[in-house]
Order: sequence, then structure tokens, then C-alpha cells
Amino acid sequence: MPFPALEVIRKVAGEPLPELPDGSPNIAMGIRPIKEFVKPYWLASEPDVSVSLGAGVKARLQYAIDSQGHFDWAALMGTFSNGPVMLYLFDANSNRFLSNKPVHSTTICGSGQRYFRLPCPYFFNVGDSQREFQIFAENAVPGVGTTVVSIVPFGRRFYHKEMPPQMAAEILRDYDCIMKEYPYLLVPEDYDFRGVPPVLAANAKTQFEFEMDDSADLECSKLLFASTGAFTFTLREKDKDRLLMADLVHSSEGWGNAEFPVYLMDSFLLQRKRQLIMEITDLSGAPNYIFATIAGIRSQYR
Amino acid sequence: MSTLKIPRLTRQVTIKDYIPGQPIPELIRDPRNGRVLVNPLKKYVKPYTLSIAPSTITLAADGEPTDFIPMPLDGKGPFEVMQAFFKSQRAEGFTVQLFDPEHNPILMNREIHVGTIASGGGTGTNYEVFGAVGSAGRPFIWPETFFMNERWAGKCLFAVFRNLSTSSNLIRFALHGQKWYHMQATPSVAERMTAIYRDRLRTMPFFYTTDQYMRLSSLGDQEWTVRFTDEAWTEWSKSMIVRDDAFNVQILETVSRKAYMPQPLPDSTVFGSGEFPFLNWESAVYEPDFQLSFRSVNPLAETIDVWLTLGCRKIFPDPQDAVLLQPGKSPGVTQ
Repeated sequence: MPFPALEVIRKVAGEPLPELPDGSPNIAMGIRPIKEFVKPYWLASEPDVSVSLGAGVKARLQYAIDSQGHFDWAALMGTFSNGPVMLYLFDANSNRFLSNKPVHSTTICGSGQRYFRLPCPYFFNVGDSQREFQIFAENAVPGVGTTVVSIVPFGRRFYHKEMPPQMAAEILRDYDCIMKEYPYLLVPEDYDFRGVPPVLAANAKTQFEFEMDDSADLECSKLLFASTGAFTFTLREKDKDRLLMADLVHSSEGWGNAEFPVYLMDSFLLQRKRQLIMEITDLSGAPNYIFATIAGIRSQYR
Repeated sequence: MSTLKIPRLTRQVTIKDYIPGQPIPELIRDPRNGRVLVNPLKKYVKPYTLSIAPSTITLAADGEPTDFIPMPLDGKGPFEVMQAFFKSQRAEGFTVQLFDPEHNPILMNREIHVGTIASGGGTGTNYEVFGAVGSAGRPFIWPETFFMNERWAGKCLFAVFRNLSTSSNLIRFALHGQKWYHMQATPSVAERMTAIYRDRLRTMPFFYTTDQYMRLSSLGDQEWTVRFTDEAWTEWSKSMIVRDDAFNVQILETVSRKAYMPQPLPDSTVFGSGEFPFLNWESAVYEPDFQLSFRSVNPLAETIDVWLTLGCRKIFPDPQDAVLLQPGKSPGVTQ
């Protein structure tokens, strides 16, 4: 949550403000001290902001977070000159991927007008050194030619070295509490190592299986997709054989994209080593590539 | 009362009869006894739209600013502006600047493109296209509501427009918000209304654009400044743009050279539009007279005209104790 700019002040120099003439307690509104040290911040890949990817070509986008301040990453945007790519997000210092496989850019890259909000922020504690975030981008989406890609993470910067020490320590203490949770993207196990799904034949049926690994639960909050045609689907908890809908649902009624995601009205907890089955029937009458992504909060609490 | 607090099932009734920027709550809880009441303010606060008079005007093709166009307010009570809308016959749109009854400029540091503070031009995002028709469903919500209190009653807000098309342009411009009918309210409600809008005197919305007109030279690498005014702190929360073509931009603090991105980024990842503004996830607060720089890198061999607007709110010092407003110098907060 962003910090409000104003806060109530009841004391000055440790003393309560003088009472009002009628004897009631006095309060004032002042600017919250931390606001001076928190600013919006955009990451840019280096050395080049944009990279050109021919069909089948892969590139590693590197984002350095210098030691000026912690970076609290909240959103993702991108520009694509000629079609989407597959993206694999990687925190290099923690040696941590933020998805089980590469995900389709349409499902996680918004625009300045509608950026993709991560299900929860991801905090980069720079300490006294710098951190590196990486995105592996691969032009693996069938039918996409050479495309020029810029991917831009956005969030806020805590300039902790400029803060009073007590304030800097408080931030780290607060963030230490939530480091067991971070945003995570889940794609079906049936997709290949590039995140590309098997093509669904015209009017055919198939099923994909989302499975959470054995070290964390996923609190699923957004359903995101890109496809070459319409389809109907159901979602079913495999272990309980319980459907999340009464009947078949059209793709446009159940899945959104990075800019306009479908928010589940209540988050769905996919526990570790449990599966969610997506049963699909093509409606397009043509071969259909269905890239589905579930975004949520990976929780390592037990 | 349930201790589960199930979201959306347990009705959390506020004790606040007024929350800035939001509709007046219908039900409130009496803090003295916990009873739920109909908010007495609700009967006397209504949605309201203030348009220019006449409601449509034709801007000449000469590109000159118009005379002062009145937006008359009646004397029935304060008007709180929350949103803005426009229609423009020409896609190029027009500029707008608003003035108070004494013709002093308010709300913006110079003329700004209407498409950066109001909804009505249609827009396209990465994956969707939204036509101008139906854009009232995507209102531009001002970063702070603008409370026209009794000082304005019976007077006019004035607008000056300038056509950006080379053809004549039939336009509309309207502000939407809520009207506080304090003249018709019971004395106790009227008194409460007065207290509310007096509380609001310390904040107001403000739209900043670059100090100079932004025309990016062909393949140029230029820097443009935005200087915040010196009478208030500024909180920047939204960024909007209208431009001829794409370019790259980097935002820096002019004096410290602290950069908000390591290098220039595509403008579509830094700015939004009037219908879908870019929202700073964390708003940035600046001291009076602060200056930001916008470095523009034009990758094209042609000039690009840019209208850039920062949606901000001004926070005026507490007249009783300016020390309270200075972060780090408010011992009651930091100790």
C-alpha cells in the first residue's frame, strides 16, 4: 500500500499540542516524514532498453538496482513492436524464478495506461550493494516475426541511505515479515519448457493441469490468457473433483489479460502439490494456441 | 457482532460522514452508541455537472485562445469537482486553462491539453481500443477534489480554450462532482458542511505541465523542466500525455540529478491518457519550488509535439504552525 501524504500530528517535541480554547485536544495534519524518501521508480534493462528478437531468438534482459535505495516492485509494462514474446522472470541474487515456466507477455505486461499489478509487491533489499533482476525473453510464440521488445518493471524506491536510521531500520523490519510471500505465476505443466502450449485442434477437447510445487502454496487471484481463438472451459480441483463453475464458461467470461485481468471474487488457495484441472473445448474451428496464466501470491508459510 | 469480518458479508459501516474524493456514505455509525443512521448529509448532497455556457462552442481555426468562457455557478451551495469530460469535433483536440472569478489562473501552471485532464478522446492500450463514444464510463478522476465553497457561490469559473486543429472545432467541456445544498439544509447539517469545506482549504488539485512548450527536435536529446509553485507542497500522483508520436523519456530531479529510471524509457510506460492515466503506485511529495526534469529522446527524424501533464495536489502549510509540515522537523512525529 502506498503511504498517505498526510498524517495526524498530536505532539510536537514530545509534548502534546496546546489544548484548544474550549479545552478539547488539539491535532494538526502534517506531511508524513517518510514521503520525502520514497519516490516512484522504473527499472530499465541495460545496456539497451529495447531488444530486437527474431523468430525463435532468446535474450536476457538485465536490470541493475543500484545501492541508492531498496526497490519495491509493484507493476510490469512492456512495448512490443510486432507481437508478443515469452517471458521468464528471475531474481538473480535470490536465484529465484517467479513462475514455473515462461509466461506469455500479454498475460503479464500492461501499458502505462493499464499496467499489470503484481498480486503483491516484490521487495528488493539492496543493502549496501546492488541487486540484479533478469527477464529471459524468447520469441517463441507461434506466428510472430521479428519484434522489438521493451519490458519495464515499475514500483517505488526507498532511499534508505538518506533516511533517519530508525526509519530505515523500521522498513527492513516490516519487510522481513513478508519475505515468505511473493508474487508468482503458474502455467500448466502440459506446456513445453518455453511455456508454449500444445496446439488444440479445431473443435477438439483437451485438458491442462496447473500444479503447485511442493514448497509453497499459491493464493490465486487473477486469471490471464492469450489465445488464437475462443474456447469454453471448466476449472476443477483434482483432489476433490470439485468444479469452480456450474457448467462450461466462455473464455471471454473467465479470462482476462495483463491490462484487464479477471479477478477472482475470492482468492483461491492452491495448496502445495495440488492440481487444478482446466478442461477446454475449442470454439474457433481452427487450430488454437491457448496460453493460460494464473497469478497469485506464493506463500511459504506452513 | 461477528468477529470473522468476512469480506463483503460483514457490513463495515463507517463513522465518517464525509470521505474526501468519495461519494457521501449513505449509512454511518453513530460513534456514541454504535447505531447505524442515514447520513444527514446525504439528503443535501447531489451529483452535479457544471458545463460551459453555452454548452457547445465553436473554436475558430486561427489557433488563438478564446475569450473567458463562463461556467456559471448558482448560489445554492458549494460544488466539489471530481471529474472532467470533453467532446471535440476534431481529433487534435484543444487546450484548456481555468480561471477564478477574478480571472486569476487556478488549477494549472499554463494551458494544458484537454485530453490529459479530462475523458472524451478515446484511447488505445496495448491490447484494447476504446472509442470516444462511451468514454464517460472511463472518467478522468482528479487527483484531489476541488471544493468551490461559498466564495464562489453565484459567481463563475472561467475557461479559456485554444483550438489545436487547423479547422474550426465544435467542443464541449464539463466538470462533474457533487453539489452541497447547504442553503436548503437544516442548520446543523449546514454547519457541518461549512466545517467540511473549511477543512478542505489546505489541499487542492493542480495540473503541472512543462514550463516551456514541448516540441521535440528531430533525433534530439532535450531536457524540459516542471517547476512546482512556491506556496505549497506538491504531491504528484498521475501522469498523462498527448503526443504526435512515440519517444523515450527519463525523469530526474533537476538539482540532485536523482533519476527515477536509469535511462530513457518508452513514453507509453511512463505516461497514460485522460481515460487511463498512469498512476504512481507511490505518490511523490515535493517541497515548495521543487523542480523536475523530463529528458526526452526523439528516435525519429521529425519533430514531435508533446503535451505532458502531471496530476498533483497542492498541500498548503498549516497557517497555525508551518513547522508541522516539514518532514524531519516535526518532533512529534519522528521522536
